[in-house]
Amino acid sequence: MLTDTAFLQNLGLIIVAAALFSLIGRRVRLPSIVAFLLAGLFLGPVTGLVAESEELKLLTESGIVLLLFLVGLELTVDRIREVGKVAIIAGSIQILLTSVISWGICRALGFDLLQSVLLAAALTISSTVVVVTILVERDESSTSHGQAAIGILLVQDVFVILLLTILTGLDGGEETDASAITTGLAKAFGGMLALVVMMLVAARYVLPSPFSWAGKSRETIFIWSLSWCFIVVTVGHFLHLSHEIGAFLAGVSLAQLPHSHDLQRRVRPLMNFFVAIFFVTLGIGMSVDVPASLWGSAIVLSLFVLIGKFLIILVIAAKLKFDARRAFLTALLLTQISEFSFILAAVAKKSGLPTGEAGNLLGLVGAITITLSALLISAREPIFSFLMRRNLLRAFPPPPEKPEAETTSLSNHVIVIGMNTLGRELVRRLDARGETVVAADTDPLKLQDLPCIKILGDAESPAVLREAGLETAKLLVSTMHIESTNDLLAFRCRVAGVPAAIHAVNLREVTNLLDMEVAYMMSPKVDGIQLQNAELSRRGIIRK
Amino acid sequence: MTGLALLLLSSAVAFALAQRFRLPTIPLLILLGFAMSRCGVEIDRAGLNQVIDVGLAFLVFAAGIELNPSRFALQTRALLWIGLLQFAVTAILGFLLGRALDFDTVASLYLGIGLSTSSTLVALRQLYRSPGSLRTYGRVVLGVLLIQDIVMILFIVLLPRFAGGVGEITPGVLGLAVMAATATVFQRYLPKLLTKNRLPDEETMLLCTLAILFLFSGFSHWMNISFIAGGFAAGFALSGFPVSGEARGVISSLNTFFVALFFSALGAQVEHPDMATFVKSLAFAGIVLIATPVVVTIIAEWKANLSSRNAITAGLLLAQTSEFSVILAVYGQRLGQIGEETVSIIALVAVISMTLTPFLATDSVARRLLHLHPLRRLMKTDSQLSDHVVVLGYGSAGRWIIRPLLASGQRIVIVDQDPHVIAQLRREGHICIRGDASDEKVLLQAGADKARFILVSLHQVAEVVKVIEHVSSSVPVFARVFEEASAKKVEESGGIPILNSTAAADRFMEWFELQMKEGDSRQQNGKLGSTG
Repeated sequence: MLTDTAFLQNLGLIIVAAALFSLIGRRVRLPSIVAFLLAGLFLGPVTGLVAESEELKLLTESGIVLLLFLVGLELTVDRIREVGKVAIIAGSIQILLTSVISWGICRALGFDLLQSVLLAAALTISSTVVVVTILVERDESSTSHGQAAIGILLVQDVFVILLLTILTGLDGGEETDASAITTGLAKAFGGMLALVVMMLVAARYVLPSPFSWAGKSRETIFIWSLSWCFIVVTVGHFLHLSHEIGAFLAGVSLAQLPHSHDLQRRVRPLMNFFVAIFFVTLGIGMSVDVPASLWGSAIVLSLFVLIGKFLIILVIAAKLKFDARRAFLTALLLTQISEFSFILAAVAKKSGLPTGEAGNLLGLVGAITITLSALLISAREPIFSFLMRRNLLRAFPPPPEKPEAETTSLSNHVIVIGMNTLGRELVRRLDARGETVVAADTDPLKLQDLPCIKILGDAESPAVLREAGLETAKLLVSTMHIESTNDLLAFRCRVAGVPAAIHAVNLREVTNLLDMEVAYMMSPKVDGIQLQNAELSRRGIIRK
Repeated sequence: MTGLALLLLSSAVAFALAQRFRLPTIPLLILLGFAMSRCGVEIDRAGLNQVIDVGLAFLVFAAGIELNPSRFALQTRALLWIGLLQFAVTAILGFLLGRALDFDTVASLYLGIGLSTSSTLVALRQLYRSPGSLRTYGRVVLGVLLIQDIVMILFIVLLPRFAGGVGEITPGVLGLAVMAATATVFQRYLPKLLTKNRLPDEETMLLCTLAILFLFSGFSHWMNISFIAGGFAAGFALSGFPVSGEARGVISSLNTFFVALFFSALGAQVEHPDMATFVKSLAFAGIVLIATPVVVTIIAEWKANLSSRNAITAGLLLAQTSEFSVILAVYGQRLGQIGEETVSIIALVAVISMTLTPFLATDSVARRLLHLHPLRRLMKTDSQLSDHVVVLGYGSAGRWIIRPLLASGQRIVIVDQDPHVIAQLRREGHICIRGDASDEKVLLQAGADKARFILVSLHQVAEVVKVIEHVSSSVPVFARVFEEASAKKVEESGGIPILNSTAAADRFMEWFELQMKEGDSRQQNGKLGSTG
């Protein structure tokens, strides 16, 4: 009944469709990206319930920003030094090889010179959003193949910026203003350099002390870091840098903070929300009524992206001495074109270039390759073992015996939630007894100086419990005073089949905990009275 | 994007100030949003409206999730008395003041109702600062907030329809009933569904949670009632255990994000108030600051059996207007029922009253106000008592304290606030006093100065320290506390601390050793058995 409900209505339809399709998709093991794209196709081209509009642009852009911010948050400067060099080499060679070969293919398909250049550029870049979404979803963004892929994508991003700078300089088509392009390029490089330096200085000297002050409250530090992220993105924007690069650098500059783990956990649901909207909107914008003549080219180009790009990256990876598994996974991750490919086409058209059908064609190739590559990536294990059996990856050093260990390999440990006096005492005593202890609290000060593995975060969040290794723990202890949290923890322990020892705050809580079949109830009040009685009898005041 | 960055920046400053000066965040968010727009920072209007819409949906949704009936804690009747009377009295006073200040009937209604709800976000924050409070007056405060929220939603739906008479109101009420019924069905059956199936991953959980929010909002829109009511109903649908915990977990960061943006955006939209508006706002804030505590104190003491001091603190905690008041104002303005000035006043009253809460709702203010309490009887002291044991705070585990004392022939006097506990003790023939154990007069009546020793277990360490200060230093005071820091305070003021947490840790370790031994003998792979 508000004056303008169209926005909320569209948003509602998108979310409901995304939830529905991803629930169904889960049944048939469809990657969520594909489910979202299908949801978009359903809402847009199929039923026409939601039209493509500028209204949701802020939300989808925010999704991309948060996605890259999250990736940045996982990367410390040391990590970047490790993968940076490899990424720059692999990325540049990949761009060179892919664009030359795809230019040749386009020419062979009968596109004119300019269209071929445009198509080649668009086919060269892979989708940061698709790849990172898949990586984040599978907790793989800090694996060696994940970081190699992200590194290459960021190099591609720089390439896109340069291309866009050139394209905008081409104003008017015929009259190419060389000096404008040169200054544009200089500005882009200068801007990049400036932002990188700014972030490095900020990470080192400016951010740590105010952020550790803000870290006293989880809300404050959360809002602070989001605000930092969007400010850096805005600054980057003024320096003619993409949102992606700004957000990524903002993330990197905060990655060194002790809170970065908790921040990742908190940014993630926000990112999930926006990214779902992003992909559904992408689906809405897809056009299905492409002239039949384009289908042939679309299939050829899609095959090139899926197979050719894969092979090109494999070759580069072989030169860089990746092991078989890392090479295979990195290459497979990058077998699609980017949403930027469409933007590139749109900007080219705006600059007055005779792009012809290139835009429509790219839309089709995008839909095909994004969907198929997501499906291929989810079937990567069988594909990989097939290739290994056939000895097709023999050019590579074999992968290490054990595939990269799941981030933590905790087992048979005790989790203690709530670092009040009781919690801290239990951590110390369990540790003294030789147990592996994982302690969780929202206050970094309370976790300080405890002899155990520490997790900063809210125990109500499933991610915290996952990180604490609930499934493989031998016991979870909660000393919290908050009934609802204790009930929830007891419930989760029962679902996971892990015994729980929970603080029974009051009588009603006792009944709840009995329902939840907890192994042990702590009642400090009663225990305190016993201690008091012992003290009184020691003083001879009462008889034993 | 720049607009978003600016809103986030002003939110970041608001959070920093709130943390530095221990103030509630909402008024600061509004003020900084306002300051930003005053400084000439232009933010695109359509973007602001989008943020406000989504923020609104999240605010009511999150409030609905907290609608757990267990919050009533068996005191439904008392809470209804407090909540409804407080709402009615404040609303009527606000309406009358509105009329007196020449506002039209509709605007006066909005003003009156806008004054009558207290802020869950502000009150909760304050409650969490003194953890003991959640076990005494905190429960009453939470219950009352719940009732206020429900009444407020009723008004948000029905207020726009008052002009249309019964013909418009009836379908509104019917729509609400349908929605409430649907939400109740969800609230009942979702938990069963969730316990039967293994939980989906977080991304799916998040999308499903939000899908329920939007489905309800869409449903309410389709029935031509406000989407705000739909959002609230969606929250209620998810309020059953353990669904509420899961839902709260997945939406918490979205909620923080959008709510922060909502209030900043709102502040950025408020017009600059002139002096007259400001003075009027002060008058309305006066009603909230005076009427609410008085009404709540009287009824809480009478119906919910709170001690005078706790009843006063509860009243002070509720003496501010709510985020819902602001929602009502935004909504009324969008419908064209109220003008700029009314919205400004409601927003200003919220800013003023919320900012004052942390300063007013404190123990020391409550103690000072206690002197104004007309019904505070002066009790006669029982001069015969001496060399006895005084037990301050009996609670649910009290019989464990007195049994060994009685067995060793001690005479005891028990002080507790809970009338049920006192009644039971009287039936058992014990000497007991109902009252605030940290009150000097109560201590005097219990003969604390002539006691052999005193056993204290009170919710807040400040109260324990008060007791120790009141009694003569020759009487040993044993105080059971949970935190190490409290033990230190007790020790410093001359008492003998007993650490409940250490005792619990001892017990736990005994159990743990036993389990490990059993596990070893059963070769059970180290997993613990499930016997307590």
